[in-house]
Amino acid sequence: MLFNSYIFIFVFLPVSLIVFYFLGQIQKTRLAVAWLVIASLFFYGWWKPEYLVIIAISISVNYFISFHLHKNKSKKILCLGVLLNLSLLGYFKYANFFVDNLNILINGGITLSKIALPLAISFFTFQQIAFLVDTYKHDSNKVDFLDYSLFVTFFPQLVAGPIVHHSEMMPQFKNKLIKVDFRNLIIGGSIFVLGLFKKVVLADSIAPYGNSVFTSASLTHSLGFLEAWAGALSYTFQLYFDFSGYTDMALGIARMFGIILPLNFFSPYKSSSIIGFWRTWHMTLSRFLKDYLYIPLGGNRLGEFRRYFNLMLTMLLGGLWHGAGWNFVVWGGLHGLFLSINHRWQQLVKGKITDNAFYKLVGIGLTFCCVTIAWVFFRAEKMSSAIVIIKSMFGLNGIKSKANSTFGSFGEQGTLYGLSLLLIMAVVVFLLPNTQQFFKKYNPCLENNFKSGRWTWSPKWYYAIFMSLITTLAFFGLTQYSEFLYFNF
Amino acid sequence: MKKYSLIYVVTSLILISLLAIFNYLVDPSYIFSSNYEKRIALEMLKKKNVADVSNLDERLLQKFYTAAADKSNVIAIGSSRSMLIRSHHFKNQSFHNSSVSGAVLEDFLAIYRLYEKNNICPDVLVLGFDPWILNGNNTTSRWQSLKIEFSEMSKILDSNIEINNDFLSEEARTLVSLPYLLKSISSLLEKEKKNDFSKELPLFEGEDCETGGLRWDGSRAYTRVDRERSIESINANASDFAGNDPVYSLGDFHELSQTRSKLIENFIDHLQKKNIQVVVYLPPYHPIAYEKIIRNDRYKIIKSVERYFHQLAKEKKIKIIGSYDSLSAQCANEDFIDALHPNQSGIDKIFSTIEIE
Repeated sequence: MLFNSYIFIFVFLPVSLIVFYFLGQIQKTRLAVAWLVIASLFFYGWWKPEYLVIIAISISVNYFISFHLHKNKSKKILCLGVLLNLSLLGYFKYANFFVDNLNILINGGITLSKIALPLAISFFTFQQIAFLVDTYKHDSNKVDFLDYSLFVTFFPQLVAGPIVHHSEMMPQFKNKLIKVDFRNLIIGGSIFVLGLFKKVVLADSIAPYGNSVFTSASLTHSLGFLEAWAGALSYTFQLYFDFSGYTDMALGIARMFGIILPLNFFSPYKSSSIIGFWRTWHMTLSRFLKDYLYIPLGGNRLGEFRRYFNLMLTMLLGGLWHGAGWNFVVWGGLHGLFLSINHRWQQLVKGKITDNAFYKLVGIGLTFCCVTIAWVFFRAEKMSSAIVIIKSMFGLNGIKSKANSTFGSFGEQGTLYGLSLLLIMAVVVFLLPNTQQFFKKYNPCLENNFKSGRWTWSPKWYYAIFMSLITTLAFFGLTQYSEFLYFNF
Repeated sequence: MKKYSLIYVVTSLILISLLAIFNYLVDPSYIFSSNYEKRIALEMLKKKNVADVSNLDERLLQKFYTAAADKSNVIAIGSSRSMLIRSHHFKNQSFHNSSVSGAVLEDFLAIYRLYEKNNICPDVLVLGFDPWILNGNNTTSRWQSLKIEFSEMSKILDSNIEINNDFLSEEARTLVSLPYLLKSISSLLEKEKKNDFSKELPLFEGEDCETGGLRWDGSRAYTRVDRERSIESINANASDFAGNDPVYSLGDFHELSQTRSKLIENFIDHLQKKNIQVVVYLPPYHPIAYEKIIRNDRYKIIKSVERYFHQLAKEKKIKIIGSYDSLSAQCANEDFIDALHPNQSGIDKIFSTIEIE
């Protein structure tokens, strides 16, 4: 079930909320939590009921292991738990990739039928690994099975994050007073609608333009400089609005249930450095990679060389987490390289360059270009297509394509429309406050130590009219079926 | 917060209603006014060829046509790949081509049902079956213009194929659709509508015309540009087409749908009970496209589809002509208009072998 579907918005969500608050109202708090678990499993099973078996086994096994870790702090049990999680992920996500590459390496003919990737497996596996590690370190309290199940399956964040930490969620489940709070419903609903607008109006409108250019590249058509950049920028904006739109929707839905989720996006394209970019893009994944990979590897405590090595390894594995393909490894490697250069640069210029506006502007431009170039590898289905686009982005195939258009098959009028869309999106991304800044007064996420934007939402009549406009456009955008890009990871 | 909520809800409802009314009134694709299809059907019934047809609901056209048509001896149903089957292929027989673009199994049943309902069942029914007919994962909704007819036929054939009852009907979705809203706005900004109802429908005489159109026998006349495309550009198109992901209507085609094959078998039994002679036609792909498609593991299933239809023809003792493989269908590169569509010479070659009893 998609957040951007009629069935979710008009049936599943209202029914889930009504039953949840009804049970809360009659003091059946545990039953209300159980209802949320059932609703979440129903939501997950809607795609393919057989996936329920996988998630049920994963939850049960991890809970069983954590139960033993609480009683007995055993490294062997922890290793077994982590290994079981990684094996599950490895089998479903990487087995085909491994066999394909092994066949190339040994010129062999090992056959393995295509293994379908269960939805959200990368997300719920990471969440549970973190829980096991913290249980071993005694950083987590003993929880009951129902709360643990809700922590893993809570449907707003189950499919594509944010990757929540038990320390953020368990206290909220534990101390939950379930009472209808119209403020939560209105704020949650408004955040949800903004996310929906980002997805169905902005991301889905620009998607065909990026697709057209990437398809041309996959057919090894030569692209011009402008066409390649237009395609790469289209995808850059599409991915941002798609994923941050999804996150807003997740935050909004959770808020309707009175649960506040962690921040996952904070205007990443406004960052003036790659380090800043990774502090504001998919923040809960960066946090996981830092806490459970980079720091255990030694972080920056073992000297300069190890610092860069650890950084590179973390980013390569982060790339591979997104998908089993060499293009993801290259994407991760590029970011590892960018981060290493950025850290070295910071050391070199420390105290020499002041943080002035010009320096910041150049930084934003450079960071955005680097991120856009790296997205080409992330999006391209084949390395060869990525290379076609990258070559064109560096002007190796001339300024204009042979077809003399900027957007593959869209013709003159379509190209003009596409370029206008890019301009609108650039304005939204670079000049407007983000969702969290807009709702800052009402604690939209767990972290609230950021500056509010130029405009902040409050229940005034003009914001009611503004949100009506956004709702109307989002409602009109619902008619097309389109999945979220991060469902593939 | 109460005042805010009230303003928000009321304004949203007003805005949604206003934009839906706007879409309904401008209606750039004539979804809510079926005048266009009705007028084309009337011209065809007067044995006139209609030029420059665009933005029409081909399914609806069949509905209007069959409502007033006399019986034809031979009817062809298929996708755009069958639209060049023409009356001259069936000497001394009256003929009508009821093919619709992107036809899926639901279209075949619904269109046949129109003939049955209007008591104008043919003696011979040519079924242009494309491989995607057996793809259970090919989800298209264009057939829903004839949802009632499909539902009726489905009941007659005792099918367990699920009729997907969407949350909103196709028309209602269009009414509140963002792409349709943008189309409505751009249509208003254009000075002239393409199909202005106040004007006479453009007609043409003879075989073909510059802008293409529909002949009175239901067959498609391609535009001059399409007809005169160079062989190099057609070959390039065929090569590009096979590289598409997914190849048209063949996405997620992992196995022959048992529900659909059973429905086809029941349909043929039903036709034979009514003494209708069935001819199965397998439209060929361009040689370059076919070679590339069957080399791709994801799409070589179309060979199994062809084997299935041959087996079916043998079991039900029905004629089968053509082949998805252009070589077997004896068509060469010059017999195509693009990767998917044989041109007139290609179709003529295949149908020259047909003899109707």
